Amino acid sequence: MLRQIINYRRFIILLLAVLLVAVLLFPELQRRPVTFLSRPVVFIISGLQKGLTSTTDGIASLWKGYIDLISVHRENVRLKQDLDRLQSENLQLQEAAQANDRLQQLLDFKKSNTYPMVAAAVIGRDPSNWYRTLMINKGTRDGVSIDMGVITPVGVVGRVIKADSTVSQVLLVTDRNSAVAALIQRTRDEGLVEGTERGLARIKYLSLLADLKAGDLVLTSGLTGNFPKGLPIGTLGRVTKKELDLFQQAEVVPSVDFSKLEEVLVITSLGDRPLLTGRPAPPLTESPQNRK
Amino acid sequence: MNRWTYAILVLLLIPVQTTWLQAFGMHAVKPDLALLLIYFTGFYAGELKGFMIGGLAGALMDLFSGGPFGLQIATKATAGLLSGLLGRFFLNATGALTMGLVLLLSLLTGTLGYFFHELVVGEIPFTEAFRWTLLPEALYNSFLGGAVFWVVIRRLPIKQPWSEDASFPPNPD
Repeated sequence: MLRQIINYRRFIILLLAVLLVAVLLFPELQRRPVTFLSRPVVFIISGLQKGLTSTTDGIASLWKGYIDLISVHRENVRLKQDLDRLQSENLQLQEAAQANDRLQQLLDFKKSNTYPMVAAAVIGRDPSNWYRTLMINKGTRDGVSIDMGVITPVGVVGRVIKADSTVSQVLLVTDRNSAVAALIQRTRDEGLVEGTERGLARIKYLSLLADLKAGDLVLTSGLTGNFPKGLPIGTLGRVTKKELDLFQQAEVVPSVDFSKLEEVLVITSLGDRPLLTGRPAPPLTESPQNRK
Repeated sequence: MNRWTYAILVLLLIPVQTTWLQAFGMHAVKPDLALLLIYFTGFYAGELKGFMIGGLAGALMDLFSGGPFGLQIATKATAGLLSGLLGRFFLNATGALTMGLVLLLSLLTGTLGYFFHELVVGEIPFTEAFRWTLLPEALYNSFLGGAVFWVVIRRLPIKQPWSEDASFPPNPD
């Protein structure tokens, strides 16, 4: 066995020597053994390299991703905060733009009319369900007093029933206790607009001969109260005409949406015509009989 | 609750009722937060406190309402008194019972308010007032009262002061 191995060794040494001679004798063959040797070594090492590189890259990428994720998360939070802030600013700007439009309308309306008016903001509504009133942020200090008419460019709102130094209360035309002299624009028939239980209004005391149609425009007649003639109150709804009644009446759909009212104008004077107030403004405790 | 809590609640009541609550109005009818405060005060703290809180809240409401001064004082103080009496009859209220009692109280005080209003201002048919104001308001109050009971009152350690030592029906001894 040992002899066989020794023979083998001798044979191998002889083979290597022959190969060495052959390589030395033929220079073109000098590179081949290198190639033969280098190929598997390079294959193995490059494989390891690739593996190591890809692992390192993977770890680096993972780490970088994690780090990035943290920074992305932070950035995301910051961007969300920015977005919230910008959205809020956008809403505020939209709100300001809308308020600007409304105030511009009020201003245009105020300029286009000769009688003096005071602009006021709505700051509250009636706490009970029995009355339909608004609280505005102008009072006697600003020239507002009881019975003055309150309007918007769209139409009639109501009239002042209580006036304090800085705030006033306005009875809406849709309140049951409200009454405004009115006329139908198309037929020129006159009547009285009162509020109803349902928060709408109706026009009463219209002649039975009046040819009323749903959709007819109802305007202030200017005969009573402190509204100039021709301000829109609303449009006619269902007309009720009974044979035995002395008058006919009709529902009036107010032109003003009272639930969305934010700014109003108080008519402080009707120019040449004196306002029918004549009473000093008492504190916010006026009895309702004064409103009838 | 101590008197400061009552004072803060009553003072907050009017701004909330006249501003935020408008957004929750349905067909021009909104719930009556004052009535709920008065009901829970009277029911859990007795008729005297209910009466006083009712009178105070009513006075503030009268100041900011378009109606004659005194109408809300009368109706809200009565509501406080009634809810206190109801609290003596019903111990350990449930959500359903609260809804029923608030509905009843709202209808009773609403009807009382209607008659006061008729005395001073007049000219409203009762059927119309009932259909368009009293009933919707009472229903609204009832649902909100039930919700307040479920969300707030049920979780608070509130007990009627007479619930532990008093017996009902009264003990003949």
